[in-house]
Amino acid sequence: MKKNTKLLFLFLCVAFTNHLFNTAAYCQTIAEKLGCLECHRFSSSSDEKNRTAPDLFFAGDKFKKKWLVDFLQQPEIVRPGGFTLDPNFLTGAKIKGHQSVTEEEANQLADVLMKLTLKGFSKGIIDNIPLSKGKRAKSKIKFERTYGCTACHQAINLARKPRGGISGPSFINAGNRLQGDWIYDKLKNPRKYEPLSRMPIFKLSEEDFVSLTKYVLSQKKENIR
Amino acid sequence: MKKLKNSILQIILAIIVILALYACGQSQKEEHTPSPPITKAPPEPIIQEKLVSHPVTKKTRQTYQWYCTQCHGVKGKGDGINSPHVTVPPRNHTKASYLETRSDQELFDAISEGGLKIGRAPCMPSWGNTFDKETIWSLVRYIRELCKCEAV
Repeated sequence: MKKNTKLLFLFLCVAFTNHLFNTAAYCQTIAEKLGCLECHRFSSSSDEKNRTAPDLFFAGDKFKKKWLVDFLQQPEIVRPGGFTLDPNFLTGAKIKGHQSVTEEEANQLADVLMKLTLKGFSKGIIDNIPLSKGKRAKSKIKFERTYGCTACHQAINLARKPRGGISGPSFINAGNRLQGDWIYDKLKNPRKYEPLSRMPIFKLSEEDFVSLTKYVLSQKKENIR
Repeated sequence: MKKLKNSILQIILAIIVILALYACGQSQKEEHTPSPPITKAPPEPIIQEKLVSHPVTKKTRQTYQWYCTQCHGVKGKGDGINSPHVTVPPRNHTKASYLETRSDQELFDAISEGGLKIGRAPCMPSWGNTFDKETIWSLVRYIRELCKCEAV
């Protein structure tokens, strides 16, 4: 019995290491083949500077899989002003669009990206219940006026048109793109995911952190008129 | 003995009644007088001394270039990449005719607490949690360098 348990444990260990290795290796191969590594980092240990696109080693915590699959086939512009660390940022240079891949490649890549998660990332803080109409209106005022988020982030305004600054990532499709728990954590710890972020640090009440997160989650491009 | 017990009881009763009355009075008071708004500490008088001790350094310029330029532009002319998209145009920091009408304390408050708190545009977020006071004072100094002006 004891021997069996030991064997099972050993087997599990080997299987787990193998799984990790395979995922990483596969990820590396496909990403290299498609040229992802030229702009994105897949590990926090590689060179922090000279990046021209966002980090992806926490893509599984950040993105919604369906959006990834769609985006990889038909890329939309997420950062209308470019990536903040790109040397061309603020120069007004034209934004280089993301390359597109086939449906099969998109599915494979999305599978791999969803496995890239951070240790200790807390899930389940933001539930699926959307803001009530009143709370949404209140959060809109906070987003646009009280905290001035709209100076750098595009969102959908009352006339259902995209409005706002372009130096930060656009939120007009954030509800389809991002996971609530990630928005919440990013808002709370803005330097955790990007130590060189250009965003101000906000110390808000827990209620505001949650309601602003849910407000961002309510932004979907199908609501644009 | 019984007398003593009675008098103790009477004293306790009296205390309870007094306390109850006092509590009622207080709660009524709270209902009628709204709590005062949180007032900011009055500006400290010797601003000039502070500015001298926080001169514009390489770090000040880097801070301005990294954060402020998104809206105020690389040269501070109010023409950053966000400027065409915000409801109120970002301030042109080279325009002396406006900036000389603002005190250093007002510029400090605008950076630290955001535009809305000082009755200006809400697009200017608060940076008080991002930069320390010394950095903000040196940014005020840098704006004075850009506008080549002082508060009148």
